[in-house]
Amino acid sequence: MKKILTIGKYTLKENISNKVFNGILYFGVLSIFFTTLLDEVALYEGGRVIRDSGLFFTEFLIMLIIVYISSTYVIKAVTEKSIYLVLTKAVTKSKYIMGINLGIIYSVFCNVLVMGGILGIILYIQGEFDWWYIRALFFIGLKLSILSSLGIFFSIISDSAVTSTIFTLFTYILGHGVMEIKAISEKLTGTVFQWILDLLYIILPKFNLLNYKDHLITTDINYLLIIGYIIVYITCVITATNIVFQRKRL
Amino acid sequence: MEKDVMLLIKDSKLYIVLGCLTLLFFLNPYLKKEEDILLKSGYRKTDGMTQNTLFLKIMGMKKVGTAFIWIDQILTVGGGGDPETVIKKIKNNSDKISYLDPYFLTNYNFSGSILGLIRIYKRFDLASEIYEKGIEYNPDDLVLKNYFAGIMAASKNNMDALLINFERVVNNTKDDLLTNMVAYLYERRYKKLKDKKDLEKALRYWGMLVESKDEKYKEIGIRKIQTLIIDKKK
Repeated sequence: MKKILTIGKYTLKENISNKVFNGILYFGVLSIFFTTLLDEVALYEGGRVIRDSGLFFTEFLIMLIIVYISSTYVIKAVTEKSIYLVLTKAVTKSKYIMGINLGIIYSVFCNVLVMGGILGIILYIQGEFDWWYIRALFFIGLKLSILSSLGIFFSIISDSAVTSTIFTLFTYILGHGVMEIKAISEKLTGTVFQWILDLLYIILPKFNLLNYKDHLITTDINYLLIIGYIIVYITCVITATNIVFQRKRL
Repeated sequence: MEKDVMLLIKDSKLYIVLGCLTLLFFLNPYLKKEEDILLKSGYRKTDGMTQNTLFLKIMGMKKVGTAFIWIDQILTVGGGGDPETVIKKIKNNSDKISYLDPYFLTNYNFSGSILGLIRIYKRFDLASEIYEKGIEYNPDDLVLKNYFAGIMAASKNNMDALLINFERVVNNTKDDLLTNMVAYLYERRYKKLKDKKDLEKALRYWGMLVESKDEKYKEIGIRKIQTLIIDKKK
């Protein structure tokens, strides 16, 4: 456990010193400041416009950072040969994968904290800061944690940064449209496509449910069930990544 | 190859993955129920559905989409231009916002009042369509109902009913456009009937405009109060 935590901490440190990571983060902070300008043109709904567009920019830019990091991290470690240094020091491949996953999840929440914190201060000044906002940020973190695990999984099975980035981005897009996938499958009864779409509906992450910032009515949803789902999903992806990584020749 | 398969079968991690997949499979009907709740809370018709709004809805960007269409709505109203084009755009934007977020009350109040109350537009039919949609999704909102009743009274030139309903809305929302209108109507009635009560009310509502965040309304409020006070002294 200690080794996993150490790898996680090291991954976070490495991400923080990454130029792309910092570049997108600065851009994100700037974008959030830009949203405050919208207050002038939004008339009676300035606070709402700042909150909704700020949360969108927060999620979108952290998603870009996470897709980039998770899809390239292992590939970069293999190319730069730094992975051998870790694996020869009594760290198993499973621990390495779990550590990286943990490190990227740390990075997700660090980013959410920085960008969400700045937006939170702006919203507090506007009088729009409440528990709903904190929950929305928490769910952004959870959603992107699933995406980061999938990014690592794709980078290990595909061996190419471009392919794994494309896979991860497509999963992000399809994850939001699972309800539409189900609707199409219900119209294709009795065909092979229905089976394929039903399988996709189960396998793809249900980002539509985790998209708390976009829920119109929030009171009736069973959040314990959703958090349980996230835990099962991440465990499944990390274990599958482990199995593939165990059998991979480095 | 056979050796690899045997190793995989012996691997306990494989059973964890299978266990998780089974759990996901069993959780699916419960998650579907939650999805149905979300689906039911959304807009149920198709007016306002365009390629862009559909994309925003599928991609989970309903609220940010609403925010940007709302800004476009404000700029459309503020920009003015050919009345027919502006009317069409205001109605389209209002439909798009309702399609994305039917619980966004300011959309109904703002778009409906602009179409119903501004002299160059005066489209009570479109305004009532907007309000009916708003009331369908927000049946408990009294402000929306009062606004609607006021617009209906205005369409029938029933000044008393209009003032009663709009005063309720103004007291609840402090809406600048409506405060300006109520104050103006009381002032006009005072000039016609010379009833001091109307003057008091006009002064009260012009006074509310002085507190407005909008400089334009603030200026109107100050100017009107100065003129009415001179009138009162006479």
